[in-house]
Amino acid sequence: METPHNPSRASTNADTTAPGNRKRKISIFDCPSCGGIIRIRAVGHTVNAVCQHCAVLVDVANEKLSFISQAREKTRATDIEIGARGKLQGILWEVIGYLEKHDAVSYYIWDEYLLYNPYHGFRFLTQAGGHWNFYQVLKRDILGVDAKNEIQLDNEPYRIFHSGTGVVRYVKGEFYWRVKKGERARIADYIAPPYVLSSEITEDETILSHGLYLPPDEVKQAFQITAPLPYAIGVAPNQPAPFQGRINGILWVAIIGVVLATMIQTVTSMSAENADVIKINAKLYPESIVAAASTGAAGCDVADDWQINCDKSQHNGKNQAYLSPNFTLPTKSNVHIETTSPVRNDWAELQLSMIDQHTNTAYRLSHAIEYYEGRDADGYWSEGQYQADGYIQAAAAGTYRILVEADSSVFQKAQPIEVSMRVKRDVPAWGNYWITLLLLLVYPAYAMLRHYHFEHRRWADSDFAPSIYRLTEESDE
Amino acid sequence: MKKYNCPACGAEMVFLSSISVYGVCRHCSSTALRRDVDLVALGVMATLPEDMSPLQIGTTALYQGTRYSLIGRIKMGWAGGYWNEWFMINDDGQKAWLAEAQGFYAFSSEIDTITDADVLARIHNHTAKLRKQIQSAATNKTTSSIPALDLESQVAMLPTAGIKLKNTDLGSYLTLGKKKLKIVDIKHATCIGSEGELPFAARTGRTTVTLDLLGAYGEFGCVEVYNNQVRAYVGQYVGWQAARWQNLRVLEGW
Repeated sequence: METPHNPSRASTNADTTAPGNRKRKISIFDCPSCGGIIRIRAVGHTVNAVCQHCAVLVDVANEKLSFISQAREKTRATDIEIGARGKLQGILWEVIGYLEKHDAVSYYIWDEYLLYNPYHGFRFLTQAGGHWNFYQVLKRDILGVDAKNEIQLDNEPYRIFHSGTGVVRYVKGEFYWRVKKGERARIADYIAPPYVLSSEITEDETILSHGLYLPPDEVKQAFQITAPLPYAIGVAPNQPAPFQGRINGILWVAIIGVVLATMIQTVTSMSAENADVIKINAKLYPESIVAAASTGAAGCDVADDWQINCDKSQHNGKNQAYLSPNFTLPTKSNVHIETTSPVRNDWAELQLSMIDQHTNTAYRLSHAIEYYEGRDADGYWSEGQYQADGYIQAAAAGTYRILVEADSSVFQKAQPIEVSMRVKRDVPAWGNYWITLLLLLVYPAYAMLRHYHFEHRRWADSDFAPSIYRLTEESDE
Repeated sequence: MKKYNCPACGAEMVFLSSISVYGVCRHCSSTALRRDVDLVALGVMATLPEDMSPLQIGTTALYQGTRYSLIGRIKMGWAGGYWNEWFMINDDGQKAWLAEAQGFYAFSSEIDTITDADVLARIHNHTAKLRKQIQSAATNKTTSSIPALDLESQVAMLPTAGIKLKNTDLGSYLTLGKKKLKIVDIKHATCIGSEGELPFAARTGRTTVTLDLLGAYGEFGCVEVYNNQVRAYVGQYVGWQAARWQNLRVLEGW
């Protein structure tokens, strides 16, 4: 707002300086009914005013005052009182009028406060179901209002939410138009949260207003209201959703992330050597057999520092643990180990340790294999598999051996198990990729779910809910 | 700018615009008509009803890229209250109007001719309708909502030319200055008073039939019928910030 910088000029406003001119104070009237003083705030604009003493509605359009309707009820208290001032959207407003309206059919009641600032004009602050909107009358001729389900304002689509008939129930304060208790207007609300476009159509005119959702606390703070405001019920028609306007951005980021991850994955997969390192077939024996075959000492001695001493000849080739020959990883890469053990109605648990022969660094994998089958009333069944596999994410270049230790239900039968192993290096790995995808999609999924849930609640009160937010009654049958 | 002396009190009367033909003396409220070299006294302007307008003679605003100064005002009254029509000029001497009603500000310029052949017919149709309404209101004064206005004189001022009538209503469209605008309001308006300088004699009681028009993007149109003369104005509603006001009136308490 520009600051008026010529106060001297204002104080000597031309029409009051001439001699003999009586200074007219039309901002104060005597009530034609009770004689009490009616003070007008929006002088020059106000046409109707309610006497704050006797609650009679007075026409103040000109100096010949006439009272229009007798008061049927005394002035009642409202959440925000006439004369209250508050800053909304950075501008100071004074409450000068109040209308209570109801829906002609449902008798749903809402409040409309008329706000005034002599520089900025008029605004409306409305309260319905504990939700507040800050409205400005819109001087636009917009096609399709109250006829179409979607209308456009500044290239923004507004969707019909409600249409009905509003009836004036109660008024107090002053108004720049002629108010009438019981007056009806066709109303329609179109939403584009946090905005709402409302139309009021009477025989004489169509009034369009553009509203913005205000959090109740903002209203409370603006007008310094100490008493509790009406409790906010559900979701307001134009209440911004938790991820309002950000859903598309969130989705785009996720899509870009997925595309990037896929590209990286494709490039690394294609450049992976996917080379066989070693294939092993081993037979592992239970402790009892090894002990019987050996001459006192244990077959393989696995020390804490991963020094392996395994002498096949010592116990007749029957080892409880198996140590592979040396093999070399030429570069740092991942290693894929796939083990197969043909167990049947048995299980085998294999502890694999890939040990760097120079540094004794061990990479460990645990493979559990179990396979059960049988027949029952339904016929043949089987469960589990002979195979297990796993990755070592990043093994340093070097010479390695793999130590396999086993425990198995087969051992309890004093029988050995056969284990074959295939070791590959620089294998295209997909695990990280899937984890990345999952992480990329968790937040968008959460956002969409919250959004959907919120929209569902919003549209629950509307006869015009888009089909995706409509309760599907058919599915309940 | 041209200086004269008030024919009533002798005080200086300045006409900023060469277009202005009518002025109200700042000191004695006498009204004067400008002729080539002097002023002719017309009468005394009643005091304008007080209002909370933030505008005053001398306020300037930005419209179509240039700064206009408010040099005159007509206070209009109708059944639903009052509004202000401010007359303004820019440095190039171009004239424009600023309608100030219900907290809205609409700038407009007069367009030379109304090209739409239907416009006149439609307007006259409405004036005829309105005349009937006013006549019936006059015969039954209790239903009148405008007791302060002299209804008889209003009727007398209505255009009576025999132009063929076409049925039209609120909500129909007119093409004004190449713009398709919707008629949103038709009313009978009377000059309640004036101040400053004006391009015509805005005497108290001068009554017009006024049509307000609105466009899809906030375009403003106005058609005024006075004594069979039709004037049309086209412009734009302008937001408070966009007008870049200067020299506003100081309002106590605000």
